[in-house]
Amino acid sequence: MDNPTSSFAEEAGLEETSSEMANETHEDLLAPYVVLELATTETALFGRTFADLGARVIAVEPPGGSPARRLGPFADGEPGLERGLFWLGYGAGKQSVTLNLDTRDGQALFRKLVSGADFVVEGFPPGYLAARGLAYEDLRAQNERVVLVSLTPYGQEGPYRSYAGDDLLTWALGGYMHMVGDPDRAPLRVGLPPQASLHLAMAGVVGALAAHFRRLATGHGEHVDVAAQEVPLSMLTHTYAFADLSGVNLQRQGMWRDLGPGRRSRTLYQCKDGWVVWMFMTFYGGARTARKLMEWMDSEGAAPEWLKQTDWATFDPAGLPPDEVDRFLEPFTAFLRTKTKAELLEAAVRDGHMFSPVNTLADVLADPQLAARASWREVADTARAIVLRYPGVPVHTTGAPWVVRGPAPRLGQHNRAVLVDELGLSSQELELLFALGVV
Amino acid sequence: MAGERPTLPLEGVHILDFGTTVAGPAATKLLAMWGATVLRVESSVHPDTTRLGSPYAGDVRGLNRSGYFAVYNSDKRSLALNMQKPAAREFFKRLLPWADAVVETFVPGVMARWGLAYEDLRRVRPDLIMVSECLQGQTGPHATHRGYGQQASALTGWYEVTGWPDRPPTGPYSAYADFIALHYVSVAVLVALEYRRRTGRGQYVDLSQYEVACQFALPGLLGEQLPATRGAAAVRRGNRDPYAAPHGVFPCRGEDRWVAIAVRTDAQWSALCTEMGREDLCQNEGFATFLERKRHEDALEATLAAWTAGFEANDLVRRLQAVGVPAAAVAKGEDLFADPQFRFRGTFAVLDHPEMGRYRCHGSPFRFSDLVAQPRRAAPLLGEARDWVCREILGLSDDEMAAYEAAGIFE
Repeated sequence: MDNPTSSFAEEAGLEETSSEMANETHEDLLAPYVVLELATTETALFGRTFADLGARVIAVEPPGGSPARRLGPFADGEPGLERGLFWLGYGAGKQSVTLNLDTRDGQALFRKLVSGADFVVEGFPPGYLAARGLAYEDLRAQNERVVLVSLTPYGQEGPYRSYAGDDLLTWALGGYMHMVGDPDRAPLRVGLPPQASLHLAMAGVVGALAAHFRRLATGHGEHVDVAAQEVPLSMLTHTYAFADLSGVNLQRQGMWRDLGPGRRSRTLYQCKDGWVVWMFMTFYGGARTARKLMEWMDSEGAAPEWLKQTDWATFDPAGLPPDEVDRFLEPFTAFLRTKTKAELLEAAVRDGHMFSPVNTLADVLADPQLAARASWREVADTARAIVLRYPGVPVHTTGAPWVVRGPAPRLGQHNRAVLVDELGLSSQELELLFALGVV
Repeated sequence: MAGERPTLPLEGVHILDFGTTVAGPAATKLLAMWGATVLRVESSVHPDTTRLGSPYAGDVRGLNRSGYFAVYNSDKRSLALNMQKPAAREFFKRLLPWADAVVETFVPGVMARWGLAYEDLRRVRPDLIMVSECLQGQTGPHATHRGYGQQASALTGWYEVTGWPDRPPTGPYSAYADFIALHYVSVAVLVALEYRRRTGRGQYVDLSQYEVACQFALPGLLGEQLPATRGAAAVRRGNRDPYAAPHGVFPCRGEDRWVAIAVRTDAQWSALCTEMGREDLCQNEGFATFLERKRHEDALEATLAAWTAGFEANDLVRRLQAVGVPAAAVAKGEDLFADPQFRFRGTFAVLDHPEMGRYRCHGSPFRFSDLVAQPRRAAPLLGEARDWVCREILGLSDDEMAAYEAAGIFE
């Protein structure tokens, strides 16, 4: 039975926290930990998140560079391994070491690195590491405490194990794509690809930390198997539940959202200078703001009498039959066309309306809210002569910062520091390994 | 208990969960699945909107019948507290010595109005962890902007970039930014626990859906700052991808049936042409190289669509994957339960709910090689944990419990 006053730390039998430690204010959230990232597109945000949290993250790349370096767009429109904005963004705050894992020397050096690592993350097809003598069992023989996180499309085992994966396929298989797009055309993936890889990476961070807590209790690491295909399931809200409980497959409906047989709600509306998301809430959670909207529309002569008579505490706009919906929404659509995105946002902030402007990325950069919260951090990348503003504080924390730590590394920038100064190769050996294409 | 099942890594972690709708509950669901004790603090006076969200078991509406709620709240307990009553707030504070973390997702200011701001709570529990998740963050001129993930997705640009180039935006499905935020909420709780383990210090976490969603738009946001790349990311492309051709979703036999195909290499293209019985396309000027396929993408897609339309989607996928062509059927709701990989991994648990009966519930996207944590317990009936909380957590006497009961706080 749970002890009412015990804390997690006590229950887990973890070490006592001394008063000196309690007064420590500058230790980072994940300061003690070292992460080896076998850098691909899938692992990029995983490593970046650990780096933001104060862990030391070493991106281990093939001598030709991580595939994540080849994703555009490129700074100044000039393609190059050091200019991809995906890499500059998600590589920030990491170190880079090159190792050719197809060579015995590369494998041996990687195993040495594993000796001092707390986490290893990889995004290769199942079996890729094992074929190079770097299966989880091999890593664990090197370091019993190491946690290996594998990010794959379908998981380490099962009928799809050897199937090819892709961002597009993840959205299709996870059931999400079926719900995106217009009903008269093919279903769509989410914009700004590769979104599925980013979700996969963040699920992997949760898995890594769960494994870390188990390690604290057991003293040994884990192989964490993360499957991209499973990630969209937590995004389906009630979609699969409709199939399960009501035998209904929801459909994509463009700007409308399917809420089951006979019910749907519109999400997007045109306004004076673009589009706005609006969810018309009634019942106990929305009646008050619905009445405020009536007042606003009425003050501009835009609320017909029949609309003002509606009892918003009991009225369900999503349940209107299709032939009545347009007539009902007409006063609203007309009113919204007279308002700008900024006016609607201001009203939302003031009165609780569920308006939100459909921003472009340029709008995000100019947003006063993000500026007021000091969400942007300038990262001066002197080696590349690029200064960019990052949305650099993913989460605001009072204990120690969760913040972007510096520019992305150049390819192999830390080879000497890591391989010579730390692992003890001689300078001559480093030169030989370079000549042989190992680093 | 020991010996019946392996110890889960988060056992002993206690979370008081004020989260509503998706991001908060989905995050604490994951933590509960991995062993944390999550006590939802909710009320029938102002129920979580998902408790009122369809579908309902048996299509009968009720606070304990929503599938929407049920899939996001497995493995949790529920305490009904009417926070409008001062005695309920006092009762809540008595739970703090038990709690490691409080998670809440109200519009900023609600907790403070109840006298339950972080500063108030840490007077009772100095090393408390508190995570506040909301649309635009706790501070700044737009802090009181109310909304769901749809609102945050609009702010961050996803409506602008998701859709067809020749049509207005459609946007991603449902509360997309919630789906980004949910893992950040889980990570915030876990790193704060880890930090407290080492330092003894709790902390307050202010998590803005808008800001975490910006992390997923990062390359685009960086590109917007440089003249040569300005506007490059912020366009609707349908399903096209700059680095693949063909890359799209093509019709199959049946009602609204589709196959997704993504060809990134010459080998994949050759294999696809062979399957189509159109080896000529690999030599044919116009389609032989990637750049040619990109130049003639409309014709390429039309050729492929004419071929895929003759197949049942799953048959075609098996055939294409067997020769290394990345392909997947677009799954509808019911298809998910039949997916061979999901079945192999046991992705959906079947839970037995006292009112709803049996329902399917998705599991964790990660597992350990020697430990698979899946949903074990159905979502709680509203307020089912009252006696457990009063007796086991607080050790209240019958008289004390009756006094709270008389004050009407458990509603």
